[in-house]
Amino acid sequence: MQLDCDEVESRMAAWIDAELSPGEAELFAQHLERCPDCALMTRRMEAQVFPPIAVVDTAVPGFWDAMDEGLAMAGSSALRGTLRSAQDSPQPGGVAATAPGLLRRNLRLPGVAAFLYAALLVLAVGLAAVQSVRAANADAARLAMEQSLERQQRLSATASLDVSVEPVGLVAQGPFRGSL
Amino acid sequence: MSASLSLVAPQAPAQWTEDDIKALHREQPQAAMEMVVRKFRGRLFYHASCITKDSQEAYDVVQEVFIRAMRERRFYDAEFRQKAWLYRVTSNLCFNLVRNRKRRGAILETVPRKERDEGDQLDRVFRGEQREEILAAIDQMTDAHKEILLLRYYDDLSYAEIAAVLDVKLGTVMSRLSRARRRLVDVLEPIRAD
Repeated sequence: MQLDCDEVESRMAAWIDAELSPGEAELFAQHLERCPDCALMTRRMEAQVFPPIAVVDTAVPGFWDAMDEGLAMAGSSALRGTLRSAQDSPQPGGVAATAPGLLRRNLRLPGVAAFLYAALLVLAVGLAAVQSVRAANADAARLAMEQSLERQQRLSATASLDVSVEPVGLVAQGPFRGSL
Repeated sequence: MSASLSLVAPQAPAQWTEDDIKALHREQPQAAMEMVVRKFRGRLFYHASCITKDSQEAYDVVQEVFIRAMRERRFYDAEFRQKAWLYRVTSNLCFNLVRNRKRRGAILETVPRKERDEGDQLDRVFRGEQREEILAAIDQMTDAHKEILLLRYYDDLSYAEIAAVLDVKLGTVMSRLSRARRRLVDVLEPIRAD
């Protein structure tokens, strides 16, 4: 059995990368011995080099933080705490550092998180409204108390010195009880 | 590393096998995803950076890949090839992104070198005459040739792994890679002759 030029050409990369089976490699070598064109092309391909491509240095502290946050929000809160503690080993050829802050933070909000966020918002607005009512009632109670004291003072002034005037239920008045 | 992970896989993340991860998933699903992320994020970022040549886009792509992995129901199935799937999704997202960028007319390569954005990080690190030549040549290739060259010579995947990533037969990997290298010869030699 022999390989023709097309078959050899489709195996050149595998030959160079030593990915051919021993049997195929033998057939490939036999073809090169009798075909100068394929031999030349194989040598030209062998001369190719693939120098490592350097990308930004992923070992910079905090480099993965934004991703950890995004993934935690996306579905796994456990990732948030645990991923932050470790960094992968740098990739081959890494040279330039990048400030992690420059990276776009792509925080996607899944449906459940969006619902919780909306619920919290509604709760916050509700609490603010309740606080507002409580403050208004407290003001009303304070006003009522002042009016009561005023009435008490007026009664004291008009009554005889022997007559004691009972305070008019001031103690029982709470902020939500309204005026006297 | 959490105590549970230490018990299961004491090695560096790169040493964890897919079987380790799948075994852990049965007991601790979230810890298993943590292992996946730590094992693959660096190399996927590298792969995505080589295709997009934009670290921000590469970062976003890798995050999106892991989000999709979380939602992939078969991800921890016994027969599921996690590494191949992760590379495939990364490649697809990156090439889509680059195609969209080209359609928008904002492709970096069409801008004269002196007018490129000074802030482009990869412009600073893709340096050296030979690197420039190789990258310029690879950029002129089809997505299929570009992808297979990156997977083999930059991501260091075996032919069998590449076959799994591309979902093709081993013979197709051999022929496609040979054609890509042949094309590289055709593109590089005129550049070097100038």
